[in-house]
Amino acid sequence: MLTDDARWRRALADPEAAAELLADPAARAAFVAAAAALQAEHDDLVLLHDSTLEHANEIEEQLAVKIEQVEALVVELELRNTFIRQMFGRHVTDEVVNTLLASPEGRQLGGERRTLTILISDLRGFSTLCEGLGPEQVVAILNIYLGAMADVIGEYRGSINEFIGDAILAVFGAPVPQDDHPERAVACAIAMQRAMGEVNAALAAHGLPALEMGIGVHTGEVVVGNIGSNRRAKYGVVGRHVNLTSRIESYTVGGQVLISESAARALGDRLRTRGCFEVRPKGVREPITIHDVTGVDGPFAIHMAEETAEWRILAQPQPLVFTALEGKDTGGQEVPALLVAHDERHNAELQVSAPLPLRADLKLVLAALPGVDAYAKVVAASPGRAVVRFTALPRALTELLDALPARA
Amino acid sequence: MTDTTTRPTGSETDIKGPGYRVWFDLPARTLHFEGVLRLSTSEYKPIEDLLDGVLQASPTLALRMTELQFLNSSGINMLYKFAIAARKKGETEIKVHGSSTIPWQGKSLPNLKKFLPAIVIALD
Repeated sequence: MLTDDARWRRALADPEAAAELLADPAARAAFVAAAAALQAEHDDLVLLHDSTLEHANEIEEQLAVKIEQVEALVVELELRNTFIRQMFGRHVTDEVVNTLLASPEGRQLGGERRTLTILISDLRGFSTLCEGLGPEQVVAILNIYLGAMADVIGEYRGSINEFIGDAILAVFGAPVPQDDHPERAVACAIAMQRAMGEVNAALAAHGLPALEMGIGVHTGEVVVGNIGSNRRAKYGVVGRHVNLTSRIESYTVGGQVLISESAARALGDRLRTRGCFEVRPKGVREPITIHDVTGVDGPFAIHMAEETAEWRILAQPQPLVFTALEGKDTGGQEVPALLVAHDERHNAELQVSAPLPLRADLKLVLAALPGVDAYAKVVAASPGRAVVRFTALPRALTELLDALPARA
Repeated sequence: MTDTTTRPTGSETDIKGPGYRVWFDLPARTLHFEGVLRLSTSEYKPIEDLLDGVLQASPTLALRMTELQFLNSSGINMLYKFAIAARKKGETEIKVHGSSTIPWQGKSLPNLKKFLPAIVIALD
C-alpha cells in the first residue's frame, strides 16, 4: 500500500518531495503500479458497496411489502375479532369472549367446578301478555327489555349465560373469578328491578304494555366451561344449583328479588330483607329458606324503589271464582270470592270465606269476564281476606278494573 | 456467559446456528447454505474462513443456495468479497445454484458476476 511507506506518505503531502522521489525511474514504476492497484481496489470497493446496498434495498423492499401485509392482516383480524365479539358478545359479554380469546385452554371443551352466584330473571305473565300482540311487537318488547337488562348485568360484571325467551340466566364469578360474586348478583338484581321503570316508560312510548319481572338469586357449586361439541360449544353453567335458582325465581311476584340462604349468608349483615320463608320446591328433598330482598348495604349499596301505589277500593266488589293450582286444601275446586280493591302495581284484595295459604298460586275468573283467565299469587293472608299479586293479567281485566267506579 | 443465540456449533466444515446451517459436502465439493442467515459482520467469520479454506484447497467449487431463505447485507457482502478473492486467485471454476422463488436471490446472486465474471449462476 502506498501510504505504508514513509517516503510515499511524504510525497503525497508535499509536491517538492514527490518531484524528488519520482525523479527515480524505479520509484516512478512502483508508484504507477501502486496507483493502478489502488484504483482496482477502489473500483471493487465501490462495486461492493453498490451491490451490497442493492441487496439491502431489495431486502428492505420485501420487508415493506411484508409490513403492509401484516398491517392488512391486523386490520382484518380486528374486524374478525369485533365481529366475533359482537355476535358472541350479544349473549356472553365481553369478558367471556376476552377470556376465551386470550387463553388457548379457554377454547377447549371441558369444565371445572366452581362456586358461583346464579341470577335468573323472568317476566310475569309474558305469555298471556303476548297473546294479544303481533310478533313484531313481541320482539320489540323483548329487545327493549333484554337490552336494558343486559346493560345492567354488564355494569355489575355479570356474565349473561343465555336468554331463554323472556328469561335471563346470568352468572357472577365466572369466567373471571370474583370474590364478591354473591353481593354483585344481589345488587344487580335490585338494579334490574329499578331499571324496569325506565323499560316500562320506553315501552309505553312505543305504545307497548308494561312488564313485571321476578328475579331469583342463588349461590352454589356448578360446573362451568365450554359445553357442547367441537362444532357447537358454548361457555355455560350446569348443575342442580342452576335448577334450584329457577325454582327460587318461580316463587317471585313482579318486582321481587328472592335469594337463597347461601346467597343471603354471603351478604351477611349487608343484606336488607322484608323477611324470609320456607318453601319445598319440587325435586328438592329438604325445605329451603328464601329471603325477600329490599336492599344491599356496603360497597354495592342499592335499595328497591319505594312502592307508593295506593289501593283503589271498588264501589261494587266484583264476584269471581278462583282455583288453587297446587294447594292441597282446595284441591282444584272453584272457590267463590270477591275482588274488593286493586292498585296500580297489580295487587288485588280479595274477600274470601276460607283462609288461603301464603304464596299459593291461583287462577281467577271474574264473573264479569267469563273465559278470561288471570293468574295471581297470594302475597298476604288474614282470616277472610287475602292480598294477591297478579302474575298474569289479561288486558281485558286491567281495562275492566280501571273502568269500574271506585268508592269515593 | 457466551451468547448462545448466534454462536455457531459443529466442526469447521459444518457450521450450525439457530435457524441456519452452512456445511461442506467434500465428495461433491459443494458448500450448502441453508435457512436464515442474519449474522453480524464479525459473526460471519467462521463461514468466511470455511469459504477461504475450500477455495484454497481446490479451485473447483459449487455453492448451493436453494435452501437459503434469507441473507442479510453482511452476508451478501461476505459472499461478494469471496468472489473478489476468487477472481484475484484466478483460474477458479465456481458455480452457484440459487432459487428464483426466493426473491432476493434473483437480484443479488447475478451480481456475483460483476466481481467474478467467470462464475456460473444457475437459478431454478
